[in-house]
Parts: sequence; structure tokens; C-alpha cells
Amino acid sequence: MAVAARPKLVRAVVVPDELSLTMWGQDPLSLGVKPTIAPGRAQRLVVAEPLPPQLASAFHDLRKDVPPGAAAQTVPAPLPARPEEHHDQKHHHDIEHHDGGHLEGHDHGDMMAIVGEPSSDGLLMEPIELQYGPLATALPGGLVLEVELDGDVVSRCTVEATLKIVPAPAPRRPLDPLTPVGWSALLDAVTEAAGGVEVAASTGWARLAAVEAERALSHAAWLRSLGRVLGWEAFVEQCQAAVSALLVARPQLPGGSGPVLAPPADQLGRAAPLLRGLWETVRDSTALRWRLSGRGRVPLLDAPGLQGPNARALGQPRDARSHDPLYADLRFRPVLEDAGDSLARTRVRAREALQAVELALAALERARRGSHPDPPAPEPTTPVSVEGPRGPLVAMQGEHGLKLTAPGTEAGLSAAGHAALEQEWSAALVSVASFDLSPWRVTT
Amino acid sequence: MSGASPFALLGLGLGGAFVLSLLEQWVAGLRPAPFQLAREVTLTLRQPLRRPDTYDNVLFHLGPPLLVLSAVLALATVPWAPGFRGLDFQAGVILFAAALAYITPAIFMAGWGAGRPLAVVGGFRWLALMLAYAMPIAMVITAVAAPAGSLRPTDIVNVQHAVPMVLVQPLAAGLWLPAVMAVCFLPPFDLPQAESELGGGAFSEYRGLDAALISLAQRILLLAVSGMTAALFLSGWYGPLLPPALWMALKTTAVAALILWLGRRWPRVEIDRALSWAWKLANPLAIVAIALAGLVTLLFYR
Repeated sequence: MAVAARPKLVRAVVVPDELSLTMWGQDPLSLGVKPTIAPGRAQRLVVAEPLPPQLASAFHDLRKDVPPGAAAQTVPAPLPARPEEHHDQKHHHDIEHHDGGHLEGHDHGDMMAIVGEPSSDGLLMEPIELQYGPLATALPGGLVLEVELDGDVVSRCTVEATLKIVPAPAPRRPLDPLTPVGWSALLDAVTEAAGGVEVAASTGWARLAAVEAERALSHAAWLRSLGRVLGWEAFVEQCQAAVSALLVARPQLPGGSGPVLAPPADQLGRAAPLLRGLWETVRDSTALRWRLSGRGRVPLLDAPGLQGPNARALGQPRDARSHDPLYADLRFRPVLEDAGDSLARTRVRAREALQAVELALAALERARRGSHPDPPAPEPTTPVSVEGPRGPLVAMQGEHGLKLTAPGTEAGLSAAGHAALEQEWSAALVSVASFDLSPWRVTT
Repeated sequence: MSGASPFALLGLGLGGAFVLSLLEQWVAGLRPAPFQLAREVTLTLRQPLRRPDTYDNVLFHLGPPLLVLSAVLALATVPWAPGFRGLDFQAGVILFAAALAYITPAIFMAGWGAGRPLAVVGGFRWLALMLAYAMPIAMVITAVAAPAGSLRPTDIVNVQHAVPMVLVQPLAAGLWLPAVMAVCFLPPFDLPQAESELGGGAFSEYRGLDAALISLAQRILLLAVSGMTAALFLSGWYGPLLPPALWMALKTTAVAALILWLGRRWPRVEIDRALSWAWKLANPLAIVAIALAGLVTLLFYR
């Protein structure tokens, strides 16, 4: 590679995190930064503004850890419609009493002790308590892990999404910043259903293509995050190439009340071979199998409420797309794995990323040809759902207004906490990361 | 001290560390940026030292200088060229292994002294890892020293004037490389710092001069183990046409590039798997390597 063609990157802490920044249309590579989660080593601080108010205190602490001469850079962020102001104060309280904020815990005391039993030499027993998050961690900003370590093995773990949104959907303001297109498509669909409007052929296909393009981008960006957690730079680079291609083809959210714009087919087409390569790496890599196979396995009985790719990694064909006539016309079949471990979740997302681009391209081709299957008759009282990257997004027009939910969110948080138990810290972290949790919760 | 003055050794360490940092950028597919590197060092040095709320500040601040000392001592034992070597001891390779052994307490002190959960976890990881990999390193050194009949690095280089040791003892070379990668706490064995898991781990609390010393020590270590790998397995300074010192520099750079490249190709090894490999595979194979070295020595070097 020619020297001039090589990028020149500086290490930067990205706030709230790299995945969010990507979903908001900013490519860390084009910003000239290589994300790090060690603030002391950062040469730059990249902040998506406005920052959710829930993260203000943690961000204040984080700033103190970044070298004084490090440059600050701000990028625009689509803050949700109305972030909940009265969030859980507990984490702020915890953070304010420590110096650092993002990776916190108590002094180690007697680290050699075994939790729960007196040792033969009479040393004091003490577990390590750790708060991991909400910023500058390997997880999306806003997720907080409360962990108790017995040595380096996780004996207790709870996962909390601290960013909450009260649905008050202004037109074109994303409800969940990690799934802006999915929520917008849902709002369009529910508005049409409420008004009894029959969707035009081109609009339906364009919406499908946009939702699938967002799924491909979300999964590819998540795979990149997983690669960073695993410390696998070659894989991160492979994911980055796919993410950059998908960002160019990213569907746009127009202003006003117009529909979601379809992604450009030629640019999506360029991303397809990159995603195929990514899927082949995930499918064939022995190293990945060593790291992920058997880790973070959650039996279905322990997490009956799981949705989206996490449920499909357990062999459950739960997918809102299965009931959509447009997807049926494309001969859609959900991607399924049955192991229910971190590897299965990774394989489902890698395969789905490729499938999403193939579906989007097929939808755009159908739109070009003007084909349209028989649409279902709009029913105002029936819940409308769109399958987002993390599971279904559901809306229903009721007597008291619009009710929005993202089923499976709580089950995912709970399952991730369970999956981390009895594992060494790195395996536990990878297990939690493999659930692709969103720090945003839609509360009604 | 023979051959090289302490100042030459210091220059080699600092200059080599700088070149290796640029090599690191190159291997990562980035444009080597010396000025950016200098800015990074300046930024780090401008940070005030941190005094974490720990009860063992002495250990905390002793870690980085001890790490640098170990790295420089290891560097001094490498035979860089005829007449240019720091410490030309009869048992030079044993001194090299001894210098590496001091890295273990240095990193453990860093993790323990920081008093933060993930820093302590990093320290314990390191302790377990080095207990497992110290033995293969010592055994491989014994295996490559056998044909030379000497523990002096210069003699080991000279015995390879015709055939490099990597061709004679590939098993020993195969055991040596991952072990020294682990010693340098480089990916995929960067377990004590593991940025994405431990946020810097044992070194997460260091700022300013302390952080700069650790960064410097890691690169000097990489230089030392790459140089010693070239000396023990790749005939050291022997090679056609070019001056001996240049051959040694090229081989050292190639080994360092290989180590850095391999680190990018693999996900970080989990601590339990790293220990399992060391105890169940590397240690038994190291004994086999010694037996093979004895056989090779009897057949071809006597």
C-alpha cells in the first residue's frame, strides 16, 4: 500500500460510543480517529452533541481523565424526541464519589480471599465490586454493568440501560437514536394504518429497503465493536470496510413528514461482497469459535421473552418480518442458529447483515419494476410492527394515543446479566457484548 | 560492560523504541507519523502524575521504572554486532531470561498498587501468565545453547554461521515466539492491559511520566526480544554482502514486524486458554525440544 494512501489516525475517546456515532452517520475513520476506551491514552475527545442529560455527570468525570492537551471535537447527534429527565439518580451518585467515573470499584482489600468462606489463615474475605459504565467502556455508552468479581470470575452481574425515552414522537425525530430508520418507518406505517391509507408500491419497497439497510449497518457496526472487545484488529478492519460502504448507502431521514428515503442500490451493491466476506470470516474462523463457542449460553427457559437476533440464535423464529407480505414476496426466511451462545448470536447477526443487503437490493429491484403483492387491508386497531436490528418495534394507536414498545429489551438486559455469571471477566464481557444491547429504553 | 558504552545502549533503546513505534503504525495499515508520535509523547508527559487513592503508592510508582530497568537489562544482553554488545557475560542468555523475570513483579506491582478492580485483575492475570511461560523460555534458551556448548549469546550466534538455528530447531523457535510475545504483553497476549476488557488493566491508572515509561519499556522489550530472537534463531549478524550490524538490524526489524503482525491477526487469547496452552502444551514440548537439541548436538555439532 502506498504511504500516501494510508490513513493517519489519532487515538480518541468517542462519547457516547463508536456504535452510536456510526448509526448517526459519522464514520470514525473519516473523522481521522481510532477509538480507544482508555481516556489517558487519547489524543482527541470526540463528543456527539447534544449529549443525553443522563450522561452529563459521567462525561464530566471522563473529561478529567483525558490528557489536558487533547483536542476536542464535536459532531451532531440526533437526540431523541424527549429524553426522560427524571432518570435513575443512583449511577450519578456512585460516580460522583469516585475519581474517574467510567471504570469504578472499591479498593481491592484482600484480593486473595475467597468470597463467602473464611480462609485458613484468617484473612478478611472481600469480593471486588465493579461498576462498568456508562461511558468509555467496550459497551454502548449508557449501559451500566454492576458486577461482583470473585477473583476474576463474575459472581453477580446486572445490566442496566440508563437512557430512557418517553414516546412523544415529533415528526422525524428518532425515538431510539440507534434505530432511527426503523422507528421512523414504524411511525409512517402506524400513521397510514390509523388513517386507513393504502401504501403505494414504491413507498412500501423503499421503506423495506431502508429498514434492511439500517439493519445491515447496525449489525456490521456491532461486529466491529465485538472485534474491538476481542482485541482482533484484522477483524475490526474488515468490519470497518463494510461499515464505511454501508454508511455511504445509508438511508436518509428527510425533514418534515415525507417518507423514509430508500438507500441507493448501486452503493448498497458495493457493500454486499464486503458483508459476504465478513460472514465467511465469522463462519470459518477457528479463533472466533474458540473465543465464543459455549460462552454466554442462555437456555430458552431462562429467557422466554428474548426477541430479535438473540431469540433467533436460540432457534426461535421470532421475526416480525415473517408476517409481512412484502417480505413473503422476497421469499424471506429468518436466519436461525440453535446453540444460544455468543457464537450463535454473532453468526446470526453476520448472516443477517448480508441477508439484509440482499433483501434491500431485491426490494429496490421490485420497486423499479413496479411490482407489489396484495397489501393487507389497513386496520387501525391492529398493532403495527417493524423488525429492527435488535428486535421488533411495535406501535398501536389506542384511545389514549400512540403506544410504542420494543419487546424483548428487558429480557435481553436480564439474559445478558445471567450469561455473564460464573465466567472469567473477559468471557463475561464478551457474553454481555454479544447481546447487542441498546442503552435506550422506550418507556410508555 | 564491553563493546558498547551505556550511552550507545541508551541511544539504541530510545532510537529503537521510536522506530518500532513507527513500525507499529505501518503494520497497522496507518501512515507512519513521527510528528504525531512526538506529539503523543509530549501530551503524555504533560499530564500530571496520578496519585490514586490506594494504600500502596510506593509499589504503584516503582512499577514503571522497574519495567524500564528490566527492558534495558534485557536489551544489554543482546549481541547486536561483533564488538557491539552491552553485557557480554558467559551466561548472557540466562541474564536475558533473568531480566525478563523482573517484568513479572513490575507489572504485578503496577496492578496491585493501583488498587482499582480491573487493574488488580490485570496484575493477577500477568502473574499467572508469566508463571506459565517462564519455563518454556528458559528451556528453549537451554535448547539453543546446547549446540554452541555455551550460554554466551555471541557463541550461539557464531555456531549458526552456516545454518540458522530456526532450521535446526524449528520446535524451539515455535515455542519461543509466542512466549516472548507474551513477555512483551503484546496482542494476542496483552492480557494485563487488554484495553477493551480492562481499560488498560494494570496500567490504567498511570498518567504522565509513569505512562510514558511504560510505553517506552514495552517498545524496548519488543526490541530486545526481537534482537535476541534474531541472535538465537536467525544467525544474528551473519549474512552476505551487507555489514553485520545492518543484517542484525534487518532481522530484528523483521521479527518485530512479524510479532506485531501476528498480534493483529488473532483475537486476544483468554487467560484460561493461554494457561492451558502453556502448561499442557508448551511446557511438555519444551522438554521435547531439549531432548531434540541434545540429539542434534551429538549428531551435527560434536
